[in-house]
Amino acid sequence: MSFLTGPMNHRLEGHKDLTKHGEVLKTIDPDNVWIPLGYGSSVFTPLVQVGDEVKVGTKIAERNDAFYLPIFSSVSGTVTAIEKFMNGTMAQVDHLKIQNDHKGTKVRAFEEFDYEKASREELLDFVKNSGMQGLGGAGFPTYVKYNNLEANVDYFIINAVECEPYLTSDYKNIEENMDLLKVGTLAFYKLSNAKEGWIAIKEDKHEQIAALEEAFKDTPIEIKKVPDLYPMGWERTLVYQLTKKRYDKLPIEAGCIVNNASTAIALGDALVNGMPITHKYVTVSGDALKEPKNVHVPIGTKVREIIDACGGYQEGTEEVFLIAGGPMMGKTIPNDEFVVAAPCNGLTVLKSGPVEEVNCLRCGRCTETCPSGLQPVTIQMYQARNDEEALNKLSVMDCIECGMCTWVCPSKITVTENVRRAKNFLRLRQAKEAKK
Amino acid sequence: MKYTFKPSPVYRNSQSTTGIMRDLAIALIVVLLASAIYYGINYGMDIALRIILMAVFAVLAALISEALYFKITKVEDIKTATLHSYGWITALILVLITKVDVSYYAVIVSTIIAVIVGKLFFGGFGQNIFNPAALGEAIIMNSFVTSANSDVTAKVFDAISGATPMTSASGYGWLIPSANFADFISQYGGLGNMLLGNYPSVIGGSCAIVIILCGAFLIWRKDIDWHVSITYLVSIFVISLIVGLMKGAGFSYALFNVLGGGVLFGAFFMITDPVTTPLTIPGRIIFAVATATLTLILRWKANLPDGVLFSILLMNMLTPAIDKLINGNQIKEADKIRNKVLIVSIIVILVAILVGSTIQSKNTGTAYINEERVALIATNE
Repeated sequence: MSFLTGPMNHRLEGHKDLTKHGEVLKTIDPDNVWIPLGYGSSVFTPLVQVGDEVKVGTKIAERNDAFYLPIFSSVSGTVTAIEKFMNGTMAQVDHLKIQNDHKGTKVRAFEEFDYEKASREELLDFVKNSGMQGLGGAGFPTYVKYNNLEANVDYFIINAVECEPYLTSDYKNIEENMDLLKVGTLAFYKLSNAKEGWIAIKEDKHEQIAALEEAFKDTPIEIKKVPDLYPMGWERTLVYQLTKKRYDKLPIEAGCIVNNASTAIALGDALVNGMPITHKYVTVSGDALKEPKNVHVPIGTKVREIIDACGGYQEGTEEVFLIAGGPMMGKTIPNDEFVVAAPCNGLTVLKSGPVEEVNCLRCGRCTETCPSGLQPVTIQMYQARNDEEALNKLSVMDCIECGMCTWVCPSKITVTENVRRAKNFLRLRQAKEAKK
Repeated sequence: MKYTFKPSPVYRNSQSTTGIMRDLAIALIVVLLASAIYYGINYGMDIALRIILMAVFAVLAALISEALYFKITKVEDIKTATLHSYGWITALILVLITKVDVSYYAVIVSTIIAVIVGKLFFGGFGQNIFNPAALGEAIIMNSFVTSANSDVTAKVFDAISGATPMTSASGYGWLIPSANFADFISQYGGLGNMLLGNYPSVIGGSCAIVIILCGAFLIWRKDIDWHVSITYLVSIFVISLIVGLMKGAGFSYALFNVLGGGVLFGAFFMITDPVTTPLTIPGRIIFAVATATLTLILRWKANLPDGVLFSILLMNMLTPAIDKLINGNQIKEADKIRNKVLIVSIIVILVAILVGSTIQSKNTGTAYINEERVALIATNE
């Protein structure tokens, strides 16, 4: 952010009032859930077989590559099948189908654990074995961030920014689980061994800021207000906003560790109640939905059932974008048969109409708003020419696909998608090189 | 329910290219009307009507020739293609940077060449290298000078012996010593009058204050990038101030350079054309500084009434080179990019000052002061 770069962010119309004030719907109890056995590129190995009885909190699968991660049943009932279909990241993955007996029988997944007395190593093991994962959207095992912390951590940051338009699930989760957030935050803070601990939240959430300040007043955790800009919730933008530091790969290079607020609440739940991540707060919103609201559903609930519980689509709507996540970074899914996975925070349903695309007028807005400091439209130009050298010089791989360039483009060009193509092109070229 | 698939994001900003062009058209029409009112009051309603007709003919020429081009090249949806080619903007700018005595057919022919050759032959809107309006006006200046309507010339320009502030300053060798400046500027009613645009020049040059207000409107609407306008104006001012001070001309000489001729119009309506200028802010700053330098060098050294037009056309050719110079990650290479901007700007400004140091004032006493004009203004007051 300087005279020469443009703002590298932009205020977006958030539409958060659609769902911010209403009650959270908690009565959705589907007859079947399908627990996805994969997210992104990771694959989970099931620990149960068809026919097994499970309870809420039974460990049912784990990821056994370099990033160990267990997952747990979200309902009580019987495992009936393993079915393959499209998940919310558009990948075909196996899902463990569990028939719900609607009894909600719980099993305490973890022994009682006092994080204040425990050593750092014991706490780290607890975080690892309780299946804590990045609930902001990454789904990445949380303990990895704290593993082998060689550098000194200066700042521990809880990310409660929630910069995606429409989404208020973190907001509602914090509102309803302030005590768990406090426990989880303090436990992570202890684990990080940081000099300072912060909770970052958008400055326009006045009520929640007051509530947080009240809840954390006798702790070393400080509430930090950040401007209402997109993508303020992205780690890099957030770290730069708070510390004015840039880093190359991981926030730890700038002395920071960042965790999502929902992840901290999940850890609080695991510490206090001994329960893993079984349910999610999901914002169901958008201009094509009849009754936008937040829902609290078992992981593996089909989206169709959630949409129905929100009154279905608005009358007269024939075509919609059904988006797994928010409208900026979420993916449009061409059916409503996918399920809510742990990292999913929202379902956005927008009316889909024709978009008038015109030629690029070279206005440079995509360059000025890119949070990674890239030149999206220049990348698009070299992508069309398959110019590998130029693309490398433009550091295409730093793109996080935040969607800003497509959003800001006055000519309505799908710039983000073209940058994605450039990334894929470079990945393929690199794979080819590696083969040689 | 049908679920549309589209790569994310599907969320869009409300600002559109057509909206930007609409704002631009509004600003251009305001400048055009202000000019028509000025000419109407000072030279008669027929001149005002002539300005409106020039604009109408130019816009029609652009729309019809583009539609025909799309018909010949077998574009399916001619209406949309013509609408999204934004030829009327080119037409309006062209009229505003030409003189009021230019014949209608010169305006029409130049507009057609500007949109067809200057834009569509390069691949259409967004692909053209040269600012099409500037290209059109260059054609008028080089090919249609003798086609000027002599009645209009007589009515508007002969009253002042054809000496606009620009031609008059040009007669001075573009260096008016402080001692003579008051006399010189008084024939145009002083700098204040120049701000109001109360003097004949190109059609759109007639009202500096209106241009500034329209420019502010476009900046407020985020239709144009203020970096480039402001850098251009500041560079013109600073360079002419330094050169002026070296040569015994002062602050008001620098102001004259900013207010006179096409500088203000160029700063807000031409150098801000995103299509023909660099993509990035650092690139545009280099572009603006270099264009300012060229504008002044052309004023000082070339046999032209004003340097704005040709400096923009010349710099348009360097746009791809400037873009290449700046390419890279703006965060990781921030220092490198800043240094490039600084080095290029300093070199360019030094060149301007060096060239400026060689200019001589053709101080011919009061030869370039037009008695009639002074009298005219005196009676007006």
